[in-house]
Amino acid sequence: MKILILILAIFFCFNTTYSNEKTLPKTTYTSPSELLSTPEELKQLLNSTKDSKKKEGFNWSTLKPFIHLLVLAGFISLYMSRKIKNNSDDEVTEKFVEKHNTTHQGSEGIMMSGTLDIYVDHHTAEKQNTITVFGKGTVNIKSSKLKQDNSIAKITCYILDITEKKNPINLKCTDSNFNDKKYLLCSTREMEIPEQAAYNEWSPIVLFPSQLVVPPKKGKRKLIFKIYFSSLNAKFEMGVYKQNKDSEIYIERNSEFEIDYKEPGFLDTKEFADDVNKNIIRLGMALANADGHIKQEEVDIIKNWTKNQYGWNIFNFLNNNNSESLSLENENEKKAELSFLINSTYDELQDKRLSMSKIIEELNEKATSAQKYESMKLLLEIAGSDDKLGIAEDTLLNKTAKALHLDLKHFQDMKSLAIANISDIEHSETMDETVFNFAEDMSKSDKCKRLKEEYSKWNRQTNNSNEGIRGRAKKMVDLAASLRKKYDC
Amino acid sequence: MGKVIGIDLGTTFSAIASLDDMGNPEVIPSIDDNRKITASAVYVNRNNVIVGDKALDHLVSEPNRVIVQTQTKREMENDMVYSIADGVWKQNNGYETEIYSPAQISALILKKLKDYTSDVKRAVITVPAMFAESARQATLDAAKLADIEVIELINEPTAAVLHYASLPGVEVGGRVMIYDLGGGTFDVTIAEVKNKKVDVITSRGDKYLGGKDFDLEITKLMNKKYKEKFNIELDSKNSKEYMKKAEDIKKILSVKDKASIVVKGPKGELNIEITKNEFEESIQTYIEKTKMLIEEAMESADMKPSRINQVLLVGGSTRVPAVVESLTKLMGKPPVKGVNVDEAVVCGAAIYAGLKTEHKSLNQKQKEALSQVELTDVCNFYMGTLIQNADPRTGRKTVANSIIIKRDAKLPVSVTQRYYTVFENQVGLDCSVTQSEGAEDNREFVNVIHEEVLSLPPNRPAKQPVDITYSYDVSGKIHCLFTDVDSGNKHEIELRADSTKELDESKKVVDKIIIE
Repeated sequence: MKILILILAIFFCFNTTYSNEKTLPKTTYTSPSELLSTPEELKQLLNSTKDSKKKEGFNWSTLKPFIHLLVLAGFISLYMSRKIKNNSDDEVTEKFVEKHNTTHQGSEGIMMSGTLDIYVDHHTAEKQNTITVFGKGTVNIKSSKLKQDNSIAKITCYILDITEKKNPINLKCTDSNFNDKKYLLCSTREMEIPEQAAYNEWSPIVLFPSQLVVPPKKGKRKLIFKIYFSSLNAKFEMGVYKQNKDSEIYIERNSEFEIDYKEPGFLDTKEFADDVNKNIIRLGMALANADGHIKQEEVDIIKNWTKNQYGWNIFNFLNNNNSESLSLENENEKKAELSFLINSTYDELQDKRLSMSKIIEELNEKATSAQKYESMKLLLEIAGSDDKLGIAEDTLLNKTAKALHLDLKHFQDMKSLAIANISDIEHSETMDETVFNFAEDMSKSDKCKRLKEEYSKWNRQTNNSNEGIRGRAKKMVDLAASLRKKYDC
Repeated sequence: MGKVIGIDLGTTFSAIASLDDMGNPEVIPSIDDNRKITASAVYVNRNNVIVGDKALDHLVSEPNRVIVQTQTKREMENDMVYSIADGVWKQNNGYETEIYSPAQISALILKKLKDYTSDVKRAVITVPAMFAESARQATLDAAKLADIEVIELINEPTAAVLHYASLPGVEVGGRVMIYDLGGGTFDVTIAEVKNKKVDVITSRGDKYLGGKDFDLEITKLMNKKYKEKFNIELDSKNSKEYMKKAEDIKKILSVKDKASIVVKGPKGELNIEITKNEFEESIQTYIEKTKMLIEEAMESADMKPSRINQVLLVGGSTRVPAVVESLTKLMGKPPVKGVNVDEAVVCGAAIYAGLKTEHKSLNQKQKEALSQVELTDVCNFYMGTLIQNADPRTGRKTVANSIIIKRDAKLPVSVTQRYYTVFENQVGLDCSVTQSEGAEDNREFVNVIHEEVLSLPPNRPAKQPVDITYSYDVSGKIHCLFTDVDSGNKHEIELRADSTKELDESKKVVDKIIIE
């Protein structure tokens, strides 16, 4: 009897699977290669990947006449193999599913509409690192509201940091593709949910680009991903559904996720902002002094940068907390403090007392990579302010980028952009190599490869409509080729 | 009914060819000296000009009045003019009267070529593979000024491989690399050839690399030797004359181990001897550039030298032995011989003109000869649009380039991508079309070739979908469509539908000139 029930159950499953394959959301397939790099496109990717799977799917209808026999054979084979082989693939899969469902399934406020299970994990989609909410199971929504919305539901996901359980903190975001009106990190999209819709395999439901998932503090943090399937008019306030008689939540699922965040979180950033800014100012002064004398235009760039940093603080803006803005009295005090900092750094530079390693160490501890790249941008601006790039400046730029553990390829691209707008680059045998950021430990073949990349990059700019960039590109092309000759590549 | 004509508007030499009655390309010789190639040089003397080799005779006496196509071609995409007074290419300051645009100079050469035969109305014209959109546009302008209707432009290496593939007696097949080193530009193209079917895979190029750069290196050697003897440098005012002598030396050194020439300088004449070794050493940097471009093209095509079946040479500068030796070493095989490297491009252009000519205009033999010829070319640039984006590293909002059509996409190609409006109540959308050789995201590293605004309905929330479709046809015409999905508002852009500039004034100048 039990066997008969199992056979019937499996038979039913097969038919359900088949019908669900047909009822997955219909979207126009877009080749992944055509997708944009904008985070918005990650959302599109969700639909396209599912749909592409569907296209490649097997046509079950051809097996319909034999389905009963196949089911029976399949069941017997499965039953026998389970007895013989305990560690079969199916069991591994089941364990995986079980693990994720027990580990990640939230316990609060789950509404049992269908059998949808979720878990959160790191995932690479279109070469972009993401933190993704995966789902599996049926999305069985029986609601008149869904019918009114033409079977379209809204999927919304918020993330909270619950490391301190009594003090959950909403994650924040300035990217308009992934935030709500209160600048909370959030993903929203609409999806058609036909009857008996299901994710038959673990499938991405919501994707967040990894760089946007910034917890409040550095280190091990516990996050909770709250996902809602709702009517289109459902509203959320501070990440929580705002009860309304006209709207409805169809499904709500939570999943916890641990993250070891290596950079300062957004509360750390706020706390360290002043220290980071001061170190960047000192770094800027050091670069300005690299060629032996600090020019007024270089100091002006540092002053302007400082003004921008203290004039508009992004996290104050996010908090909508104007009380933290500087009052006039405090502003004058801060100006005096920063002027003193610039003057004292100048003195330290003149007396050769400035410790670059201390500045770098503190930046590595307290600055986010975004702040480090911003600091390099400032340094490049200072370096090019007199329309000249000297060897001492270039060497310091390269060393700083390396010491701050930045992606050197990206830094080189940033430098190329700066170089493109500089008309005079100091020429010497050493400079020729520093301008391409040759490291001491680079092998000849690495150098040849770098030179080829640089040649290609600059050769592409010999067509640039900007005469200055075009002229610089021609020189860089010649330089790369002559160094290739020198190294006998 | 006009003839089926192909024109190679080259940097050093230009040529015109037509399809003969048997469907074979035939280069039409000059009416002046019966040579099949004409020097791309123009001597301008008010309303009289001399085009061709005779123009070079004035290099010594009136160097400012001789304009060579090498520099003209390099300035095709730039808004520059040649000043007869200064003898240089410069920005038009609006004050000088005796100035000529690159399109005008090119038009004079085209007019001269047109005179070699009767009944030239329509033609295919060749351009370097890496010619940007603006340079292609300037070429079309030149044709319009010369009263030639352009059937299509074709990339020089593509034309050459078409000729190689159609040649009786020369076995060309499999994966081939076309090494095109002309007077002023270098292109390398990788293509798949099967019978007469040519499938271009990728192209790379350097429009500041050619035989004229070799000549320049020789003038530097001449200058060095003159200075060693007299402790004074050669007069830079006579640079065009020295370049002419350098070209002669280069030709000699292509077949002999040394060459001597008498050079006039501030301290009198000097007989200068230059050895082949000195010359080859001086051009190593240029050869290194060609090697890097070959490597880049092979990487792009995911190929290694061993997978390239044949190497085909195009352009006069491939006669320099050091070039061939370096190429043979890099590719592990010698290039194919037996084809006139000066005529391959123009012959290919004539074949392509035949392909693009209405069938009823061809005779039976011509139809048969062209029946198996097929060509698939690629898009040589990335085509994109400017969008607002967040820098993934800093989170800072920035205007970035978003690529829509990728380089090396097979033509024809059409791609649609969806974007979203940024602001609430956004009432306009900047419809910009960008072109770049690399997959650039930085605004400064791309050329904006078109920019207009599409009006959007007011009072709408942000994130309204906008579809952008770029279509690139086989003739290189680009059609861009920006559609606001919600309202259906559209903005269409047709790039290079024809020469679009107002050329009336320019044409009056060209028409007035009598070409000798």
